[in-house]
Amino acid sequence: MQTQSFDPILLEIINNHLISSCQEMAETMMRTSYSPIFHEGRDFSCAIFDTKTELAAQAEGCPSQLGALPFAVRNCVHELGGVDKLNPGDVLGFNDAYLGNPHLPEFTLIKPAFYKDKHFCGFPAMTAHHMDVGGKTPGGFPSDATDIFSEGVIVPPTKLWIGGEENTDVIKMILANTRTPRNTYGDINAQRGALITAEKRLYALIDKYGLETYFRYVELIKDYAQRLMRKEIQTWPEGTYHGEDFVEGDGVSEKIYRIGVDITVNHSKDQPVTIDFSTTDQQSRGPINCPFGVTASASRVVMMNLAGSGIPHNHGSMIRPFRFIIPHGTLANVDWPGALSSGNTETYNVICAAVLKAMSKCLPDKVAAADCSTIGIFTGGDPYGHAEPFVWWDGGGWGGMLGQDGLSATVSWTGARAQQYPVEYIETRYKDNWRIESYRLLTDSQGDGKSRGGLGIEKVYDVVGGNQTVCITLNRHIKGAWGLFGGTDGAPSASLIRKKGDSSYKTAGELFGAKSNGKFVTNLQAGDSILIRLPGGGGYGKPAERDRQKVEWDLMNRYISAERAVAVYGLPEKRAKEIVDNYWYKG
Amino acid sequence: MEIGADIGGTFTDIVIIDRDKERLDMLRIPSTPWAPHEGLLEGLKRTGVDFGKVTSFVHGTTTCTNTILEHKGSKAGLITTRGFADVLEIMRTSRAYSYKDLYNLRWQKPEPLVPRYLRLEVDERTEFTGEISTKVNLDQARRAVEFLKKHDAVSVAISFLFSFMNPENETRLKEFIQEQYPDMFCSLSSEYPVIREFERTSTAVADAYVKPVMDKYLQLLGNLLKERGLQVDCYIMKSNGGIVTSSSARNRPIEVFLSGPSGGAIMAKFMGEMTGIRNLIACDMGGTSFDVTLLANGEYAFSRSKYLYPGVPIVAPMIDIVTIGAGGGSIAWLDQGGAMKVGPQSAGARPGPACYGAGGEEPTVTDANVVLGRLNPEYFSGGTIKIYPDLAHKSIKELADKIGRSVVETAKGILDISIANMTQAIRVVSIERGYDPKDFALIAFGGAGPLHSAVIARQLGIPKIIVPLYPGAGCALGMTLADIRFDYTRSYPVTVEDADLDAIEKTFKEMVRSGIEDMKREKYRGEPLILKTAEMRYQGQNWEIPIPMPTEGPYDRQRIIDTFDQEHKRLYGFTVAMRHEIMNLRVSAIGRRPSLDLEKFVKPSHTLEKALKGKRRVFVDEKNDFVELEIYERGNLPVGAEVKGPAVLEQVDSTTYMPPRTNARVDKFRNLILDVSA
Repeated sequence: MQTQSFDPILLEIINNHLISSCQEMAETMMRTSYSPIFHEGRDFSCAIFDTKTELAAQAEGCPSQLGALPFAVRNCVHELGGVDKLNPGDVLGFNDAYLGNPHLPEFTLIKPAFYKDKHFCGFPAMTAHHMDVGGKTPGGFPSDATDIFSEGVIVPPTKLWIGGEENTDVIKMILANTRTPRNTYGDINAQRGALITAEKRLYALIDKYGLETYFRYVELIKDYAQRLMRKEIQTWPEGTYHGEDFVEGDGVSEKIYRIGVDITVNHSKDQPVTIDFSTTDQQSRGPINCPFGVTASASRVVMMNLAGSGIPHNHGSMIRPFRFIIPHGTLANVDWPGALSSGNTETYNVICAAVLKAMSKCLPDKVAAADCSTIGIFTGGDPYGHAEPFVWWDGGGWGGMLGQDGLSATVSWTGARAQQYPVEYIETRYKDNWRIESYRLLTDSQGDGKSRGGLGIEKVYDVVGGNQTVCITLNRHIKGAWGLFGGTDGAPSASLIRKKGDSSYKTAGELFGAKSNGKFVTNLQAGDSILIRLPGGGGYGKPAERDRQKVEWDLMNRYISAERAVAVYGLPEKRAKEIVDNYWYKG
Repeated sequence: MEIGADIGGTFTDIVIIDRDKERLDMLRIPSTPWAPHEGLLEGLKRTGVDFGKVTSFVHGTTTCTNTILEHKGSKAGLITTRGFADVLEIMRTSRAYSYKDLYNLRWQKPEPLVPRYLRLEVDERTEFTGEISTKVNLDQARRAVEFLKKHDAVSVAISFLFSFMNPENETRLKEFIQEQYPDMFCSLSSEYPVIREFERTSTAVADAYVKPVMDKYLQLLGNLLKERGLQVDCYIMKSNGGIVTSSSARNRPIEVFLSGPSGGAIMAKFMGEMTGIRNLIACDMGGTSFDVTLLANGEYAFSRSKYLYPGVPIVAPMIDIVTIGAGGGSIAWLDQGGAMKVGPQSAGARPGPACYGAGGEEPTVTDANVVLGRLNPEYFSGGTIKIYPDLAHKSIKELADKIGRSVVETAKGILDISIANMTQAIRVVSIERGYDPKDFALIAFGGAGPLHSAVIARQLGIPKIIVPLYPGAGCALGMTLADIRFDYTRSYPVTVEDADLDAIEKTFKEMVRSGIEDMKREKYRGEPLILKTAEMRYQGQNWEIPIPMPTEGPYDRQRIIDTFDQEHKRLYGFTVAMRHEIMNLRVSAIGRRPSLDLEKFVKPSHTLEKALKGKRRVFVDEKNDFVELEIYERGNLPVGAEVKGPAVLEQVDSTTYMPPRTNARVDKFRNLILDVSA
């Protein structure tokens, strides 16, 4: 019999209370925000930090934001002179990517909570991806930026509300630097409203259990999560594992950049996992660089995914077990003032893939083959800022894994809660400029394997009016998502343009000599179309070993072509023809 | 005589109201999920009811829910706008629908209810304005339907882009199919006219998927009832709190998804009218689930969408009911890190809790209640189910040893966690919607509801609890009282500041006309009640708030704006100086059915002394020990009787636990009113 020094029941209740406080924060944001990126796209994340600025609880949000939040909160509080300089009613806010934010569109707001206006008891915090922060192109992703100044307004840690009073001068300064001042003002207010929701819940918890119990259990919850994570890591074989993956083009060239990582698992260490990015390339000129927080965040997301879903997400499980070595001046830890807008959306995913690749040598039964590793960030708008900018993305395929095919058309597992906008929503909100012609799963875009990768998508957007600046940031447009253990690579991504009057699509390079076919800025006019393909996932295990019934089902549903079924999976030609004749609707 | 019959997962409950004899009777027998009508007919037989004298028959069914959750629907096809057949499978491209799945690499997307090879495209296009730029191509449609038939599909969903703005292309295709292929079932997305193609398609597909099954079941049941002499139509309880004839339900079966729980919400509304308590939170705790509905000022809220399961939404007006996996059968367990959890896994009806002695070994909420003396082993379900206290004790001891606590501490812990989960569900419908639970009374029903309600109420600061006379049959009673109800929606995006108010009135009038016609078809003779609502938001927002509109135009622009501002402030604490946008117009047509004056049904008989059955040692949290408590037979408590807690009140279909500092009073309708404010 084992005796515990805490009450497991109270532990569960307090932990759930903190998590649900974060979820309520998210609900408030969904319902009162103004920009579609929040209420349709859900691109924001909510968490509560304790008095030591350690992560106590978080809601289901976007892992990249959640992973970077601990840095953002710590740095922000530090920059403002520490907790002693904070007062009830203050709301801190900033977007500086060199102080912990993933990139400039992400504004982190933090509200120090003072129980009964005097006892400091932690911080509700939220990182939210705003539609526009100024910069050279509408929508926050100038694919060819070469320094952070062209990416938008930089707001250092600041009090946006001081003792409950709006710091109007600062807020006006921010709004003057966006193309969407009205919506951004509404969104910042919605963000603050959401923090207040969580703050009230925190006070209700303390009302019930008292400050002392609350403080003690927050520590216990972190210890508990750490214990679970440690227990999990104890089952991982010790050793050093190398992995790498590549970012293709940086927006100003088509140069290939390597993300190299060495992961050491050593059970006897206080921090049993060391993650070392010393083999990563020097930073790029274009905006694919990552600040330290993004790189650490990506690494942690992979570790949490490998550890299983029963572990609370807090400082104990996500921060304590990991040691990082990330050299300055690299793609993984950019030096000021390097450009970095798409590091958080594209390179971030490639870092996840490189870490996953390394871990495939450690935990071959738990990992997956590579996923799309890009969210196909597609942004822009009216070049003179007259209309609302757009920020769109999509889902691709996930990698196959032991006993399970990869998911099709799903936002990378590294960026979970974000979702695409409905076609009807896009055509209504952006009615003067955009219409969507088709939106389909892309046959044969999967990597093949015993477990195949998921399918990517193909979406065709038509410009129906006006002049639109368009910024594309796609990765894996040269080489698809890697397969594992005999599985093959998925199909690459693409962004192709059909100019008005043309009958076929061309690459950006063919059309106007873009330096990169995956990362470029251009202008489209009414009558032009752009076709975007997201990559499929890599296959896992040898395709020849795939269950025959699954191959037939895939062919029946046109997930794979007859050629693929025959050549890769060994389905007899006659049977393939039979299936095609019988099940393929030709209409 | 009026009959309400609710077929639940574990029990089938029948309520019979005889207004002439002023009698209200109930009967509860085990459900027969493999052939739901069998249990129902057997139950009806046992009541000895004379079918010829039945004036109203309302049925609540789980068949729709089970067909979907167990993937037992029919082979269905889907026809979409060219270019968009994959919308159903692409979904919203999001993965994490819950906290625990955020870092779950093995999360699985739900399989689409229509496989890709049966999702076919035709040329057609409706623009965002509702203008039809391409008429639906019926030659292609014919080939598509032929293909579906070749593959034995018996049902087809049609979902075109922007059909919520103009359903013409969809209805044209439907008429064509009905004419050419009369045996093919057909479901349209435009019957759920809201923006967002995936959500609308998902609804039409779910409808097409259950339609043949529901059609067969309802037809069979109708025939069997008729054979037994039932003269009236069999009405079906819908998720919107209204009833329709089974032939209407067969047209849009997905709308009965929440059939049973809706009955509970209606019962709660009735309780509110009867007792004059206008703010209520209805809590129905059965064997596997806990359903919560909030009624503000006597009315429950509606939600416009619900997930059938994670990732699969339906959009249709439904009573806003929140369901969690917490019931008497919920299992307690320890995770790897040593934290205790309760549910959502349930021991169900088979094997049931450990104390049933039917092979269950894991400790459940019911076992914890047995160990704590709250449940009487000799009188569970009126003594029809035998309880073995030693087995309950044994199952909890195993868990207790693992966490180094006593059996009693562990049993108490199981209840604490389960109660925390239920409390959270109540928070979702109250605090998250901007209501303070302190302003509400709780209605506790379902077999296990009254056992935990006092503790739940205290945690949320709810001062008062109503325990109806037959808590176990709450949903069935609600069904006998439900109104006939139809809801209509039109998408009508416009800012209030610019709106042509006459045109709005015209749109309302068209929907009202449909309502009056549908009521006639349902053989409703009276004048239906018409409710008009505008769904509004600040321009740029995306979350609409329903705003009631006056019954008759002309409308006052400023008044609409003011009403909205007030409601936004109540919900979110602020207003914004932005323009006001209407998104949808809704009309509800309600055919009122007679209420019930339960007071007349009460026959004076019993005394408090006679109700006292004896004493038993029951664990009382506040004393942290077992205390000898008085046990009452609930059914024998006379009107006006008062009982002071701690005490236990037992009845055939439920048990009410009263902690210390609570007072119970039997009101003139024989409801138990529990005061837990002390």
